[in-house]
Amino acid sequence: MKAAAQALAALLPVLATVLMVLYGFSATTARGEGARRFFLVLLLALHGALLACTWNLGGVFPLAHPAWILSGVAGALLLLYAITELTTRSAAGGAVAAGLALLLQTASAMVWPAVLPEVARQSSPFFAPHAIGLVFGVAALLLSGAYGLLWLLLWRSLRHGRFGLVFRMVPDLPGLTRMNRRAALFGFIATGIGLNTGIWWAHDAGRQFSYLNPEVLTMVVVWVLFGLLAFAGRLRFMSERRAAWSSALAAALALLALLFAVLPGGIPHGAE
Amino acid sequence: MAGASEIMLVGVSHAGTALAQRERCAVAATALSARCHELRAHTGARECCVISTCNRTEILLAGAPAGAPVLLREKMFDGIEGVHEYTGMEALFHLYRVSAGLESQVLGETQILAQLREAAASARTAGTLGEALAAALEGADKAGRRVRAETAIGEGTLSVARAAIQLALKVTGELSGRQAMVIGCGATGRLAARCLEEAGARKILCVNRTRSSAEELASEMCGTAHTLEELPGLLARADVVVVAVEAPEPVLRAAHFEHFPRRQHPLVLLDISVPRGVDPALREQRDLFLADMDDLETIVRGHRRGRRKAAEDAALILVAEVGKFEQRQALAVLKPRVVALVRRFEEVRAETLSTEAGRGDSARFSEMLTQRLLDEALQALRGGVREEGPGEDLLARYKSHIGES
Repeated sequence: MKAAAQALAALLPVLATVLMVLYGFSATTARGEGARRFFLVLLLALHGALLACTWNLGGVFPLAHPAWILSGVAGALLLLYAITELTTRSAAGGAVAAGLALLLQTASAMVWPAVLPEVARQSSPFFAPHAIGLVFGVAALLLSGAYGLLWLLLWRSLRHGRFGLVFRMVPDLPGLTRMNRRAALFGFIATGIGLNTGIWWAHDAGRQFSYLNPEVLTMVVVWVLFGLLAFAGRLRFMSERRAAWSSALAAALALLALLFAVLPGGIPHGAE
Repeated sequence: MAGASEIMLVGVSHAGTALAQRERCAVAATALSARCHELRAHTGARECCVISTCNRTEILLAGAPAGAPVLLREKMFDGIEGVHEYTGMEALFHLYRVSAGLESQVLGETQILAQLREAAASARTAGTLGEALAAALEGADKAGRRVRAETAIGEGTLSVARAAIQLALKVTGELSGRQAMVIGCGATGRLAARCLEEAGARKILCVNRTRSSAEELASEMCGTAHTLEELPGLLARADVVVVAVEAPEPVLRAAHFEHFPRRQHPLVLLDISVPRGVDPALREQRDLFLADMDDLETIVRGHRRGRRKAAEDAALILVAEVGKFEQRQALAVLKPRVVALVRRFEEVRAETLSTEAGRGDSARFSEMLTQRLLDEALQALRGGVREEGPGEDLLARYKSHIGES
């Protein structure tokens, strides 16, 4: 089981690379689309298998180690992207989502524990929703950031009269805005659940809790930013361009928060 | 009449000259006739026709002295870069390619046919269209229509207005529920309004210098009519603005956007006017997307690549049509000689018959014989001319003209 988990952790970045190449360069034919779908589903299935392996190995909810958190965010990001592609029938951002998954999965493989860590059993019922909420929240926020980045790239291409690859492959600006808002709304809700259950979990465990903790503070800022983004359509001052900038910025902050959470010694409430 | 050899063409187009320079030598539709007259007098040519569209300004001359191109350059294209000059068969090839839409920004677009007809009509009104140019333009028109009917070049093609609206859709998404505006209610403005309507825009704001033209278009499009004075208030309501005016100065300037309200969606300004109808400085304005004719050039490049095969098919048609033009011209040159020859044969026949008169069957035989000889001679003469049709040589010259080996 341990060997299987390690093999999967090593295989996932390779498959994520293939997926990224397929989204970035394969033709927009039925065959190309079929290949992309196949690899996306395969990656999701393997992520599920890895989750089951680590759960089975540790006997605890498998998000209590940096490697598992990173892998979980990668899997959640691909799942959210797959749902977005299915509902909007647009493969926009596929290459970016696969690229982010590759980045996260590679980082996860790099810190994958050779020896199973000693993980304290989380008896609090708040831990699982807290971890799942934040993993999906961060994944959604990263996806939202990817859409924001694509919006800015397309806008820049249009303004500078460059009608090349970005112009041909990226859908229209309102389409990107819609997908961005959906991802931001989902991220806002999931992060909200994650943050609030985290507070209850801390109280439940009888531990000190501070908003000044860097990862908590960053995540709260990101949560507020994505709240604004999710309801940007009703906010007069939040133009589509500002929303795109904000989501890119907030995604960068979400990555930073994730980094705080997985840095050595920076697992304040994951494995204490 | 001396065929293609006496035709020459001097001009500029989107292929070699930037918009800022093209707009300096553009000729308004209302001034075409006067310009034809003026240029014919200036160059000493027998015939003159001015073609001026968004993408090109070209002067066709026939029977012009050798120094005419230099005079034309000085008069029309002084200081302009990328001026092209063709004579004889090269000029004819170019004209036919223009008519077929092979030289257009949007490959195979159909507007150019109407624009060439308009140019011919203006030259005719000015009295500067003679037999040579009329035949060349008529041949080009026929070739253009054949190319569109017999090749895939016209399938799904875009006019400049349609390409501009496709670009707008990239910024606005669907046009339904968006407020569109057309400034300039001439032929291009009308086409733009139709494209906007096809793309889903409802209740188009039609703006024109004169209210009557705006009202006419508004009634066709179920829109509302406005004059240029109302622009500042209208701009705040619009999501997409197509500017298709014929004016020496931009009709939309930075001043129009000084107190522009903050908006969620970027405003799209599509300037399909030559000279430009929107101040280029507006490109720097935030939350505003401005595209002009030069931008469209880049968009249609991919479209053009996809139509390379159709362009190859079109080449064969164009070569055949140029060959036919040459045949017609050759026949026209031979016509007086043929008439004289027929007359002479008739004389000879009558003479022979008179000498053979009263010889019974022999006379009948002579009549038949001479008639047959006459027919044979004429047949051979006509056939000989036809055989000089388009061949390998003409195709090679065409390929050389377009820069293919």
